[in-house]
Amino acid sequence: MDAEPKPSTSKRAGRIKRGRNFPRVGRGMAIFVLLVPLVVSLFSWNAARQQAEDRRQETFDHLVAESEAALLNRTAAYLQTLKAGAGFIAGSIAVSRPEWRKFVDALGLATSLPGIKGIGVVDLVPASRLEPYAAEQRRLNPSFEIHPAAGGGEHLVVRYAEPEASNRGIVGFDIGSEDSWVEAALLARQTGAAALSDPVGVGAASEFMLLEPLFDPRLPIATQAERQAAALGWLFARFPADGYFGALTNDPGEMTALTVYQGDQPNAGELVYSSLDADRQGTAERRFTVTRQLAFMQKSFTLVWTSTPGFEASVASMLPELILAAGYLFTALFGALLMTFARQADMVRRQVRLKSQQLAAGERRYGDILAKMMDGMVTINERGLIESFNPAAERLFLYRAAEVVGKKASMLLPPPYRETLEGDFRDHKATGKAALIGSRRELEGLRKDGSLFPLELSISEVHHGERRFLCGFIRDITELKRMEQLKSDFVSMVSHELRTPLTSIRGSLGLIAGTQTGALSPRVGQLIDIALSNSERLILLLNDILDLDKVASGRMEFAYTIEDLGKQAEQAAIANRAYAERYRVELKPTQIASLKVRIDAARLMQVMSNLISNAVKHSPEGGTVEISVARANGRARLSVVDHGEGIPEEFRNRIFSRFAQSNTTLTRERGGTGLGLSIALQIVEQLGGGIDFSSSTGNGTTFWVDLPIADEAAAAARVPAPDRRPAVAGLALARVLYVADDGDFSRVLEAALSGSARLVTTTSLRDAEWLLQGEKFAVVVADMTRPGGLGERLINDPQPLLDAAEIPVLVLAAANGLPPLNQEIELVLVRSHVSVREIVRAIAKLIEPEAGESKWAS
Amino acid sequence: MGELKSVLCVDDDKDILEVARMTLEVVADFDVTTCSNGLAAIELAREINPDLILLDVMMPGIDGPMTLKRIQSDPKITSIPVVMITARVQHHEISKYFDIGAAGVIPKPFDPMTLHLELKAIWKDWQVPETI
Repeated sequence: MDAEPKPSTSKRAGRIKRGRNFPRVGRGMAIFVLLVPLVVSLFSWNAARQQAEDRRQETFDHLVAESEAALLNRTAAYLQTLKAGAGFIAGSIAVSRPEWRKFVDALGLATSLPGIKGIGVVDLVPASRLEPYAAEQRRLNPSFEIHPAAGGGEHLVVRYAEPEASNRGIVGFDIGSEDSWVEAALLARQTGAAALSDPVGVGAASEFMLLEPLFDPRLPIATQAERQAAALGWLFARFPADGYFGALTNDPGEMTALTVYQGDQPNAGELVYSSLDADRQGTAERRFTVTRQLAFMQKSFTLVWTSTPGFEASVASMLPELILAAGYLFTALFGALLMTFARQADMVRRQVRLKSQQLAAGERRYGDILAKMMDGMVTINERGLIESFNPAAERLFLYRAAEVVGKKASMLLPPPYRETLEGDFRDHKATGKAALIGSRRELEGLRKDGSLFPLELSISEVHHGERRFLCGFIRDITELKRMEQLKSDFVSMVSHELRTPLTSIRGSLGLIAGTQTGALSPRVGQLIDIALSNSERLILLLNDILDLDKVASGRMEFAYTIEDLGKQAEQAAIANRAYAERYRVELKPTQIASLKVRIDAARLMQVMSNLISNAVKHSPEGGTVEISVARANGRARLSVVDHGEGIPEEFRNRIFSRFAQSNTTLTRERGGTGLGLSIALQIVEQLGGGIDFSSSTGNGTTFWVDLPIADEAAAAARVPAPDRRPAVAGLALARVLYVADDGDFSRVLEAALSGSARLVTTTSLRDAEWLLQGEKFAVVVADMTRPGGLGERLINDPQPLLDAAEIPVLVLAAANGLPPLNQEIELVLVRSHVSVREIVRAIAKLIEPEAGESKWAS
Repeated sequence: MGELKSVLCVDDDKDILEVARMTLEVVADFDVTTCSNGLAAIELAREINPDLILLDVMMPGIDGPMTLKRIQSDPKITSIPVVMITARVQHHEISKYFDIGAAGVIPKPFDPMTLHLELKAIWKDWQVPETI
């Protein structure tokens, strides 16, 4: 069958081409394949025909042999009959006619020898004894008469011939008048054996005479002369040719036809007998012919057997034709089948070609996209090996695809990231999950030449059938980083450059407003106030722009501490009270719950101040702004409520955008930068919280900040997620726990320690204990400046410290309240006697006793 | 130790210098000397030995931090507290000045009415004995 190539999913052009060439081979093949059954069926047909012919020939030969045997049998029977007659006669030469009749009757000629027409006795009568012989015979048979009258020395006279009915005319016949009979009779006498005469008469009516010589038994008959002397007469049998040659076998179907010629050749002139009709003799060209020369009774014959249509019909075999027909049929069916297959194959081939083209087109399109993609794309298998590497990736990393395909993907990253990525691959292989999947992160890439460049990597998981692999998109963010840096530099520069002239303006105005009020007219004083407040607004704007730049670029550092949100809110209320009073707005803390949150207090204060000042700005004179802290949806919620005009509908959806300010009279009057909420949003998100608002026109606005409650946040911090790695240098800094009653000095200390250590401030013993259990601190600073305060309680009941015995404790004491010396306390400083710098130095020494002070402020 | 009385103000911006001088003279009745560059500041400091130096960070020639370093390495004036005054007010920038030994940092723009209070507080912190 057609070796149709399997529909290949390969998209290579070469395979398609091979597929296209195939039909030619297929057609030749098909023809060959069709010829085989055809030739085989023809061959089989021929063989079968040959075999049938051979079998017919065999059958025919058999029939001929039967016929021949029958003829010989018949001849032998004739001879036997004559010999029997001769014996009968020889026993009694003077056998009487009735006796002879009786004998012939006993032979039963009609049944046993149907060909014989008559059988009789011929007497040899010398001319001299002809008369007495005739008289003698007439005495016995009155109608006996010798005829025809003939001369000559000897007369051969038929004495008897039976059966009488068919032989009446021949009794008394002198056969000497019939040359062919005489010839045969004389031959018989000469040879002493039966001889057959030539046929007398024509066609079917022609008659043979078989003559058996009779000799005087008393005389010798060894020689021809003795036989002539002893000859008495002959016994004869006469039979017609068709009686002799016809109906040789019981051949009802008339399978064979027999034609008999005298002599050794089948000469038409010597035709003796033919079973065929006269008009068909010699003309019909029969299929089977057997010719035999036979000699019997001293005569030779040529016998020609031919097959008859009957024979041909009887032995005709349908087998070869059936075979041929079956062969044709098979070939035809096979051809049809081939055509069906060919058509199907063609269809499949066309489909394959179409699909291949579509696939190739898709692949090309896909390849084009990959090739023209600006971002590098690297596919990575489950073992972390690179499978593909697009041209953009080649440009980024300076590797050719061939150089990296099959190699570890992590080779594209420098060491700190390399191990991270390999760890992620292992995680992914083991669990099917990894921190890097689906995330977008900024890393550094390692080029072939060893140089590094900043990149943004996002990895997604792709499933393709059973397989899953990772697809990494790489974007070179060198330019982005440069632009960010440029922008930050610009923002910073602008901020700085504007600050210098502002310093003079604000200083001058402040000085005038602060010292010269009496010397100014009220109008000038008012103008000075306007100038002063606007210069202050400009400063706020500069601060906000700087903050926004930092928080947006992720460069704002957060110093997390566990704080009571309620307390923070109260502090914010206090800090902003002066501002509120300026607009005759009352700040009213209501419903202040005590909820622990993990925050950067300074940043949260910035957010709260922003929300409070916004609320104040939008409150009517004499109005109130309510501040509350409560648990909401499992989080700590700080709410700031005003009863102003509400946020205009059209402004609500961009309230957190930069430079968004509602165009209301109050806002214009009271100022604002339009950046506050944008910064607040970013800070709150950094703190892991959310910010939102509700507002109804005319009824005021509520802003709220939701923050995770510290228990949960701390739990998350204590079990660090696997992807949380010390990417930020600050995280690696030593931590200093500051235990004090208020956070005022902590900010001074925090600023002084900044860059060297991280200060964590707590204002509760329980928190201190909890923090010491959960996190590792290098130093604990206990502030004992307030009598009976937190620091003192910690030193007097150092249970939390016992849990962390190896941590050195520094006590900041009041001059009149030195702590009792005990093992836990490493160092005591009197706070009023030392500078912040000294405290920082002391902390540094506790953290790193051996290290020099180079790293620290000196 | 007495009171903070004399301050040397150093800034390349004459307007700021004037505002600072007026502020400290008028509001706090300090003895104020001014100059507009680092080298002059060192010279003046050696000459008048002020209680405190208010030093601008960004100046042409030798800048604030470099001036500070020279002051620290000059035995005659090394004990004078130096307060940096700067328009670079971001957190890390401020802590940097503490790192190199500034006694305090005043961000620009400053409030003229409270500047002397801040300077006094810094000066007082500077005067306490280092350790017990």
